[in-house]
Amino acid sequence: MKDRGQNPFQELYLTEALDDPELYWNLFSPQIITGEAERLFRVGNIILQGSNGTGKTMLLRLFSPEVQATFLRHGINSSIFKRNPCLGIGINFIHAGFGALGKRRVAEVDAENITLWSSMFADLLNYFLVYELLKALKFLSSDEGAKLKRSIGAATDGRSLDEFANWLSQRECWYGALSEKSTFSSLLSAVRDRIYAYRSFVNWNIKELPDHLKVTKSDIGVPLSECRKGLQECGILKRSIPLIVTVDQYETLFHIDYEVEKNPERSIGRSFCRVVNSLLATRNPKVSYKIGVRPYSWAQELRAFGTDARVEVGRDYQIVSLDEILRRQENTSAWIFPEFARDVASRRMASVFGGSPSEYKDELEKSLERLSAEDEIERYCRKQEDRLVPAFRDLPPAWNTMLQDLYMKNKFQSKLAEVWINQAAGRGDSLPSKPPASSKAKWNRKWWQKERREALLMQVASACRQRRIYGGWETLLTLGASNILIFLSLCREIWDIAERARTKSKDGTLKITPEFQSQAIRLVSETWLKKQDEFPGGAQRRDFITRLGIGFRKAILTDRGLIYPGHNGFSLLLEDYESPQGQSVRAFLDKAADFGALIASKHTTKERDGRLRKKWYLFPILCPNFEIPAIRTKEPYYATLDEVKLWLSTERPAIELRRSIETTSSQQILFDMGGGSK
Amino acid sequence: MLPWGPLEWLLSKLPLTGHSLKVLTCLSPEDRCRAIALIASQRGASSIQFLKIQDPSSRFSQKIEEKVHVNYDQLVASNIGPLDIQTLGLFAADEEIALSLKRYLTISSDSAPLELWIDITCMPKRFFFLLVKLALDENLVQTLVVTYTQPSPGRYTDEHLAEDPEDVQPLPGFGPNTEDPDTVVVAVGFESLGLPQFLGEYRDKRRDIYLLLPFPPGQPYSRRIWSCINNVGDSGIGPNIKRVPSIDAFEAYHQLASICNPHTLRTKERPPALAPYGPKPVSLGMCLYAIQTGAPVFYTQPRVYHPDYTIGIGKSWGYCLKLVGKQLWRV
Repeated sequence: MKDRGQNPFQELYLTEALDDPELYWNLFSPQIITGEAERLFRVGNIILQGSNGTGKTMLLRLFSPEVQATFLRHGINSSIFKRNPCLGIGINFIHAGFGALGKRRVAEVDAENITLWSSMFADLLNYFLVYELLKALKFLSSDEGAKLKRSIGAATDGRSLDEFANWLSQRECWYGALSEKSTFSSLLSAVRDRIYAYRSFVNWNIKELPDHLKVTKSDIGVPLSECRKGLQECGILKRSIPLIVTVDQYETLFHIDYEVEKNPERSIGRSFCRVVNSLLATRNPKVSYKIGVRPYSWAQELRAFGTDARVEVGRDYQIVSLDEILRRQENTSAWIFPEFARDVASRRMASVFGGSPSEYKDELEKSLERLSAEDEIERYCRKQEDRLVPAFRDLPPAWNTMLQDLYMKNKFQSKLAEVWINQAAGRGDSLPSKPPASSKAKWNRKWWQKERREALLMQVASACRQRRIYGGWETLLTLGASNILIFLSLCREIWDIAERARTKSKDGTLKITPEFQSQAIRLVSETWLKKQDEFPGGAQRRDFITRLGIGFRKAILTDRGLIYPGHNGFSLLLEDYESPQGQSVRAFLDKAADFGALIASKHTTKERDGRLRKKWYLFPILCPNFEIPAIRTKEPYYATLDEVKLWLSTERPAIELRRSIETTSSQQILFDMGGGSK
Repeated sequence: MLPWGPLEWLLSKLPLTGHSLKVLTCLSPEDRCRAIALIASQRGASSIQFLKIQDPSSRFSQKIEEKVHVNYDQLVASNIGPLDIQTLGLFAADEEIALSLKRYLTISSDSAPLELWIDITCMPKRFFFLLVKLALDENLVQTLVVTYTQPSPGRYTDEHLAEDPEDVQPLPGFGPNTEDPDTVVVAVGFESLGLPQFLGEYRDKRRDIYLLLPFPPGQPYSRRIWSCINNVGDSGIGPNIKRVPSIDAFEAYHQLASICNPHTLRTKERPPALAPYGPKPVSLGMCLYAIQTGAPVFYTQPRVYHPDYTIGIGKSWGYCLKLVGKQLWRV
């Protein structure tokens, strides 16, 4: 990597580049829109799920006419929109202030208040989206929107728009609220005024809700469907061009009053969610809804408004999960995150240093010095070469000699052998009187090593009273946990530290040592833990994560035979987790996953009963805080529901993992004097 | 000269109206919650309404309750009792907040004009923003004085003042009215809470982001405030930092007027989005600016407040917003 002063990762968020579409497009990596994610751009309703930092908003904003038009103006015609031309509009519930709705009473009786508010919410949402559509049409008529207009074949001259306004205002869906708005501008004003009237009421600027609003409330989704029909009838938009409606920050609705009304049936926020769900139930092929939501906020309320019928995945909508798309699967060849991260990094470097992204494709990877297990242990022993020499009092001389010879040749191998001996001792297995040949030694088996490598290195670093050292591109991907925000944060800190240290190799390229990488990783890890405080429930989550991390660390450090290398995670029986008794635990763990504190996945149990389980690990970037392994290997800790309830209780106990095999005390080593191994 | 200053001094300058004095304040775990009630009582207030804001249950709940009791006993011992207390949840709906004022003002139902003090010392923003807005608009309230009492110097707890911010929401009565703002103004204080969340929502270069920095913060708080700014450093803040006196609500109001489009005050067009994370008087300035311009005010309400948020009672200040029916603060 060439030495260049500016940090290409300085700005973490792509949305910062929205004022410069060329820059936005240069930084945006289409690698993320492959396979399942491409469904987002096709006709049909989509629930776009993603935990914090996965890029939901970035993707949804791509539909905005302004963003699409500026791309086109800069000669950038995305293949995504070439294949799937559309007219996009949207709402972000936070920006639109919809979180303020429902808090001023419109009826004395609770049930009536909820029903009335929900129909007002539906009406306001209808008008808001229609207003966005009218603004989009106005934009297409402007010079700025001209290229997009041509690209989607729209016809938005003044006469067509007036004709459309006249046609639309006469529809029954308005219940007369917009009659006599025969011009486009008068329609636009009338729609805006109605939104303003609602907001004036919500903001206590007026004493009462205006009467005309009460008697002309429109039904959810109908006005927009009529709009799409009218656009075709008036020759403005061809039949083949779908109207795409993005809805961002859906979860905002849950927080409107749920704190006050814990009972779902009395929650206005939940009722608003049902209104939005009803949009999906309309299944209008000409209008598609793309709803951005945190994963666990979605399934909390699936009923449509005014009915007990639930919206159904497959029938009413599809799910696109960014976490699932980006997360490492069993089959790593299909894992798209490495290529996505590489592309994001190279685009940023090209954007800052010039040239094309392909020139920088592998630069970051090459500049990050890798660290083998052997190198890592050597670094821990640098000042005291013999500090880890194995010492077993009970071992026969042949074993001790083997271990010490091995230590001189390869410290990592000797530590593995030590672990294996301890494991046998812990299980009460007997060892052969003579050590096996290296090629036959069990501790040299690939999987046995792989499963214990990280835990062992953690034990070694601790024994040397040092912090873990990390190095290499793979480590960055593991700690990034398929979250592009974390990956970029790591890149930014590593770059900064390397720049400050000015570490160059002989050929003048930047080489970033594991020590510098580790410094940056620890900084980002600490920041991500602190970041929990920024979100709802963050203090409790941070406290739990800290106790859990310390508990895992203690468990692994005392497991001298690494019998339980997977105890950096825990699992629960699915039936317990989903039971009514598990409600509070479920709510906490689900939120922890939404906010990037834990990672959840299915657990294929090794228990004989085969009962389904679910497992949780600390979010990988949090692991360096506690110096525990970030990789997920072997069996997690099998926790019980009561145990996890206790962990989460206000008593805040230190978390200790039960062990069926004693791992801490020094077991006597047994030897099979017959010479064969057990 | 704008009508604000040390409370006793300010009151000595205001003309005697003969209107009965009512006070809306909070009963809280902080010592300073007692200050205004004591002053008002000495001045012959006709009634004092205490709002007891109940936080959601937390590890501090018991200690908070104990400290509230201590303050209750002290107030009673000062001959203010029996205390007229209204209990409201921290996340009370707008309607409940508004009703608390309406009920209090109309309790004697003689419709006589009155002088009202709203003591924001220990009152959460999601309460006092709406209460000030409604009181300004209320004809019964002929004179409106907002009061604020500082703690003993240097007596904010060293721990987090508050925890567990909720999602970004508009404050009651201050939701957006118009299009997306092109300017964002954040008043910073000791805690960033969910401020990065808020800035995350409005982060792009088309928007100007300004910070209002309380100055002088008083040692040892300078570092604490800069640490807060540092916490939100990833959020796209440019060099737009404006210093405002931490106690001068009107200066905060004027800073906002000068930062933002000058036409906004008159036309209410494209007002900025505001985020009050700073000292209460600065928040009051933001509240007034938002009332005048229709600017949305966003906040991430914390669920947990520290029981030792502050210790001791410092100086009390007053801000006269309305005097004999005339609103004095508007530019």
